[in-house]
Amino acid sequence: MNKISGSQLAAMLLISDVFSLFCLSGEISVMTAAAFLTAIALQFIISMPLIALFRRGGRLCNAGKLMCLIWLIIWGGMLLRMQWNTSEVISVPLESTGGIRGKLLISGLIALVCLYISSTGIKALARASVIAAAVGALGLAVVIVSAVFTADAENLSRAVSQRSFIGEAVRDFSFSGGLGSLIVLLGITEGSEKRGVSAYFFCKGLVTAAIILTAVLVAGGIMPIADFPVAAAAQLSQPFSVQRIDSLFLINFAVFAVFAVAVQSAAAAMLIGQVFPRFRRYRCSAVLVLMIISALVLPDNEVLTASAISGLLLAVPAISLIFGKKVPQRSVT
Amino acid sequence: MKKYLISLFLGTSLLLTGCTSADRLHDTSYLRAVIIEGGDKKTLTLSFFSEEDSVITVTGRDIESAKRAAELESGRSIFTGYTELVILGDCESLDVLEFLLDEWKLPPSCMTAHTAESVELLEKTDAEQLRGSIKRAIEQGIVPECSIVTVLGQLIESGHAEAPELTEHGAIGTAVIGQF
Repeated sequence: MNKISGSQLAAMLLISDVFSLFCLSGEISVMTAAAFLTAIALQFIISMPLIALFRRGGRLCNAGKLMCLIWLIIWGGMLLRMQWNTSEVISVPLESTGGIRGKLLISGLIALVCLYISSTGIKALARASVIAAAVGALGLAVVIVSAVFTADAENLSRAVSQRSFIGEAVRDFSFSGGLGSLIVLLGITEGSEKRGVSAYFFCKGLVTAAIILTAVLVAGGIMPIADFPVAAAAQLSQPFSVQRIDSLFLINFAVFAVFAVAVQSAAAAMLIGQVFPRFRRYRCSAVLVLMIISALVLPDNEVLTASAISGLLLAVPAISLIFGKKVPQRSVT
Repeated sequence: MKKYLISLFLGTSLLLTGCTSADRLHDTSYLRAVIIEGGDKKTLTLSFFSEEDSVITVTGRDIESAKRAAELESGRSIFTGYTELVILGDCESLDVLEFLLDEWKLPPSCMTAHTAESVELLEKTDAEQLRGSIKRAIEQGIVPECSIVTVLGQLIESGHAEAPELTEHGAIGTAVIGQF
């Protein structure tokens, strides 16, 4: 049986969240950080029924699984689209990105690696995610620490977001599509669900605040022209005068892109196996193809995405409580 | 079996060291300072770190085409990631600096200055000397902090910014730069 630990769950979900933050577009400010933290607290509250469902020994019903499956495919497509859009500004100065052919090649390779990783199964992916998250955290820490030395405190007041507080909170919900995989992965997590989910949301809040405030401190002065503020901040935080560190962020970006999509596709492939037991082969390939199609076809609507993920977090446990079967309750140690 | 594994490991290690692109070092000029001038057509004067590379002045319909012309003239590709000094003549300061930061990926520590003299400034005075002069002028409080990010931030905020005024004798005071 594919069982994962609480820390593996947190690592898998955090990678997806951090990747979304890398792809954050538009102006951000200190208010953005506050609104995002409020939204994360709201997400924690909204996920309570989900925790209650699994604590009571419940499990997802087929309708709930199908809803999650559709969402995972949509969110995987959105992550692919984010990677496509953001990769425009992430490059090493000397290297040519190769235009549209280069971007297609890079995206194709990312999809191929995703296919390989997700086909190894959830357990292998969970173990690899912890390593990727740890290495990524180290790289991120270097970028953040070096950014602090080049930061200008005046930027905190200089950077102004054009959105309202609620608008910013909605933006965070629209970047938190990875919560769809929380619904699926929580069912296969060993130990206390509440502790695992609490730890995840705490880490998410911490990382979100650190990344946004660093981006504001470093790129706050040029926020109106920074299309992707987090990527711009990474470019501007060069701690060494004789050595650029662009490749460090580039590696983080590529690894997190691969793992973020792989988590969605592995969870979706697992659900396909449960909802359509006859569909045994090429599940990961089918999921990735559907993700690519959704990336090409579906519109990019922030409010719709935020509503969909909130609705999913509330509807799936509710439906599963009504129609789902219970499994014998686990003893919590 | 062990022998094959060791050979495979060594072979892979060699491939991953980046030795394949070693010739790029000799095929690349590292930009140190640039003067940018012009509205519809851009004139660039480029000075490099290596003493082998002479100062080049080129003209193009935009900055990128002028850079490509410079690469043709020098026979080397130009790496802009370590540029230390950008000197603006009469040009659209905001657009030019935005382009340089986004496309040329200039480091945030790159200094920005203004010159009323012609593009020959870098031929008359060494880039290192000009940069040193600005640094001393900042230390002495004669000119304000002028990193590209600071100047760009001021231009975005108020439409104009203060930058050191450069002549062949170094930083002589402060100039106000704005949109052309």
